[in-house]
Amino acid sequence: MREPDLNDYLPVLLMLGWGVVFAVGALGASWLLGEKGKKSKYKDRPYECGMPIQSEAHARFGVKFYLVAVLFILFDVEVVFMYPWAVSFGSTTVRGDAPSTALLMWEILAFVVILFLGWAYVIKKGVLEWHKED
Amino acid sequence: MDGVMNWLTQDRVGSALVKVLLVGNVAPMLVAFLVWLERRVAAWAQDRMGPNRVGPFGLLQSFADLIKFLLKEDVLPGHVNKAMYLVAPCLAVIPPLVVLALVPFADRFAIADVDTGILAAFAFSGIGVYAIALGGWASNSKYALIGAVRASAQLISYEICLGLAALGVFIVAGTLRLEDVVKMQADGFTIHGETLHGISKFFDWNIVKQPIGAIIFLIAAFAETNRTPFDLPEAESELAAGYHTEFSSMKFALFFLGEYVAIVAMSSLFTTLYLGGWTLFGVENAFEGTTAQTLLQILIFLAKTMCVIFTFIWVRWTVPRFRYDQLMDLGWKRLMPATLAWLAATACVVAFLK
Repeated sequence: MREPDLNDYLPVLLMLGWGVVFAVGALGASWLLGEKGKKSKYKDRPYECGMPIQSEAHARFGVKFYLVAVLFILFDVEVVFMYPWAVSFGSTTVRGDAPSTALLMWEILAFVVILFLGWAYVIKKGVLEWHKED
Repeated sequence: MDGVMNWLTQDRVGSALVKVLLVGNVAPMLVAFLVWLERRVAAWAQDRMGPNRVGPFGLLQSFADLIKFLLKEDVLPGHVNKAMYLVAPCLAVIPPLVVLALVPFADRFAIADVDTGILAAFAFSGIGVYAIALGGWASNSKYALIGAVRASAQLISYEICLGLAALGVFIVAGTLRLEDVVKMQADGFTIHGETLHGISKFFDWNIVKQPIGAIIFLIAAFAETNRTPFDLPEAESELAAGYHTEFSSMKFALFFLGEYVAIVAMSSLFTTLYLGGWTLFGVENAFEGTTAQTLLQILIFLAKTMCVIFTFIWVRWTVPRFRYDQLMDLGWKRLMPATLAWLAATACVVAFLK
């Protein structure tokens, strides 16, 4: 096992830098080489398949999307919690530390059951009933 | 030549830079090939010719497309939010490239070998949502906005399944470092601390130990990369082109490129987590300690990744698109409880068998 080191992340930054250079370079090249078209009022309007534009662009949309976002935060944080657990659970099995393994196993089972209850509550509340009118 | 490889496998900023430039250029080239492959496979699936005019078998079609993208008018419409409109395409292409920097292509050949491995990869691939949300919002067009809202909800829903499905692998592995996950899949099947010999080495890949996890991971990966049957964000029959309706020339090309780089990144992750990465039952050590060994491992990795990518294309031209409520039902009501149950089962089995 190597010692963790923050310098390990330096190449990630390098790749990030290359990504920025690549994307900005591509946009710049297109700006330099691209055809220079005429100005037109039609280019300054949203594309709606050629029909006259109806209503404003930032229309209201279903509250369900917002609920999904909130649920995502809830569940995804739980998932992130489980990753450190998986690592310590795995390392106890490698060490052959049976009592800790058993304890960690019961812990995650309890955790999964609680998570499952939360999920069942969400479904029961009908948060994901997309076809129903509110 | 061996000197070069030795230098490349060491932890140095210089070698990291060379590898970044290598992967950062090969990945877009690979995408050019993939776009051609996708169109040829589509043609094959639908019993027609596909692109076959530019170069042999139409292989240069993507480069012709690239030139066209470069020479098209670079429209910056008056109705958009200019800053976000320009940032969104960049955000579409950068995160999947960074994910590729975390994948080990061969022994000691990952660009960045970090101990948080998969978490860093998921963190960066999660940023992809911003490209779509910003792109749709900045376009100031209702189709783009609806596409973006749909896409964001879909991506974040399936991200949970993706994370939960992959978790099983790390319960078995006990580490988040992707290199260790690969090596663990090549050291023989272990039960009660004893390694089984003989034929068991052929069953050491995680796809054997984690079949349900692998399938759910693959499904979530389809959804994460906006592929059919989950391509609702750009459902052209309903939304013009979804979140990139208002993008033209290179800005559209970057969205397109980002989508394919994301497919490459997801496939490499799938290969690393479930298909044994750069290992192939001992064949990968054929040229011990030489350049040829590293090249062979990279080739093995690429071959496996191409198989997964082919599956992506194959599914796209086989399965029709879901309706939105079906998509959300599948994600939340089917895959979520399935992954939770699988997780509990994995924990129990590992606790009793290891």
